[in-house]
Amino acid sequence: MQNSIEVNNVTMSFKRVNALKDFSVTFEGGKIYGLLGRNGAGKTTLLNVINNRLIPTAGAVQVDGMPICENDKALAKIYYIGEKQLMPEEMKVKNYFDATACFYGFDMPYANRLAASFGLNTSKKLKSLSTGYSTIAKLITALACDAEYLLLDEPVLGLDANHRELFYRELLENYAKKPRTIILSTHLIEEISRLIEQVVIIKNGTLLLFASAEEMLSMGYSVSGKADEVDAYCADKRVLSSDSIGALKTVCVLGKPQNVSDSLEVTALDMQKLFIHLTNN
Amino acid sequence: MRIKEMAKCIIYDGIKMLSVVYGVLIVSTIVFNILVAFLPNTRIGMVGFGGSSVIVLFIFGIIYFYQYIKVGFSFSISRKSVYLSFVLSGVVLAVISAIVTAIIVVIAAALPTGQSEMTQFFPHLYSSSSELFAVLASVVMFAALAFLGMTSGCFIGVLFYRMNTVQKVVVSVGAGFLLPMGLYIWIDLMPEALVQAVFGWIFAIANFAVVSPYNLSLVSIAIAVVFILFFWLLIRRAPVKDK
Repeated sequence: MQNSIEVNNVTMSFKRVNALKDFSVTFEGGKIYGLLGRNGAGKTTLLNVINNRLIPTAGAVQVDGMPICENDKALAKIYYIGEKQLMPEEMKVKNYFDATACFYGFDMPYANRLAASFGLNTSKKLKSLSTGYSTIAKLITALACDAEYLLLDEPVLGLDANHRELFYRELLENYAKKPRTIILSTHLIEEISRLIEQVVIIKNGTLLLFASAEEMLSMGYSVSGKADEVDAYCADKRVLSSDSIGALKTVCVLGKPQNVSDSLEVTALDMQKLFIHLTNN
Repeated sequence: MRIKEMAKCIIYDGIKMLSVVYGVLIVSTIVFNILVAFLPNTRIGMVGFGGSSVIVLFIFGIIYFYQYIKVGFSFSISRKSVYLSFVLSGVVLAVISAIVTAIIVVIAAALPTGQSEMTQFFPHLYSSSSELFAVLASVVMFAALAFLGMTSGCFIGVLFYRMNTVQKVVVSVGAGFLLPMGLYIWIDLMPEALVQAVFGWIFAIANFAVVSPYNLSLVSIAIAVVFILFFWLLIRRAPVKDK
């Protein structure tokens, strides 16, 4: 399929551990995906397989209809930043930008503007950067390059709240100017819930959920009110969690709201609560 | 294929490394030339550049393979392109180093204490043929040896990249005595005829190599091709490593 990343029946085994088990998913072009899962679920392995950093034990990945395995034409469409910095530590940030420009179309003025916005000194060596600024350097190369598919694994690792906000804003501006497929893999679910259009949840190497953000959020709701009224309402419902403050109670319920009395307040559920429910053993 | 861009980066780093070593050699040789100018009947030319470039490219292959496989993964470059970039860069760097060596030696020959021989391996080369022919033969030989140096370095680089920590320790510590021991055991266990045949082949190749610089070049390239094949076998499914 054109303009998409197709993961077809991929299995990835490490000795006795199956990190991905017959995993299939299609990332369509021009959308922002949230790749969610608990620690060790297989998110990074999936991204590494998509980017040909790992060769799957079985199955295949196609980008725009082209097989990804050892195919530079397909690989050139992808830019992946992982948790670890693979560039030489002695390299300066500005040389990192130059190196990226060798292999991708690269908007250098934009990169320099972003560096100034984030307060990143481009004359510094990569090894002298803090965890946060090392992440920022990688994020800037990702935003300034012209790859059609951006795979961002833990993109806000080590970033303070201000920098995270700035990154989310820049990401949306960048996406508005140049729509492309962005896959965000992170544990900060609430923060990215307003950015993502599609949610992909992995559990133990298998696909647990593939839905739009709206679909996922409509899977449940929150009911608040007097404790006895809430309990009565929830008697025949599937309750995810409940919190009580004095006589008031708030309950998260799975399903669609039905026959709710006027004395109870119904609000949308947050993505993190649903995620916790879906991925709990 | 993004081989061209990758090879450019590797060649640039290789030239930087060679330049440092050549710079040190030139300065030290000049200092020695000045010192021996006061001694009677002593000549020190620009020697050691060819051999040095072989060693430099061997070390370069080990160190920079480790660096560039990761750069390749960073920029979504296939293993095949990283591999071909190293082979291409090896050819280019080997030829550049041999030509630069020849130029330095030719220029140095004009010095009062200079000597025009690029190599001491084949003393008959400079006596039995024209100087141009001798220099060309030396350039070919040093280019082939430097290419062998780089490919063997890359092979060791990828071998260590693929090995886990235990394997690295075993190979690093054990290779020194396990190989000779293994050789003795092999000689003891194998039929004498087979051992003699194998050693006969090795000596035949060695005897062939020492006949002329061209023979040595052919043998070097043949060994380099073996290293290149093993290099490919080890890199083609290499996983990303972030340490």
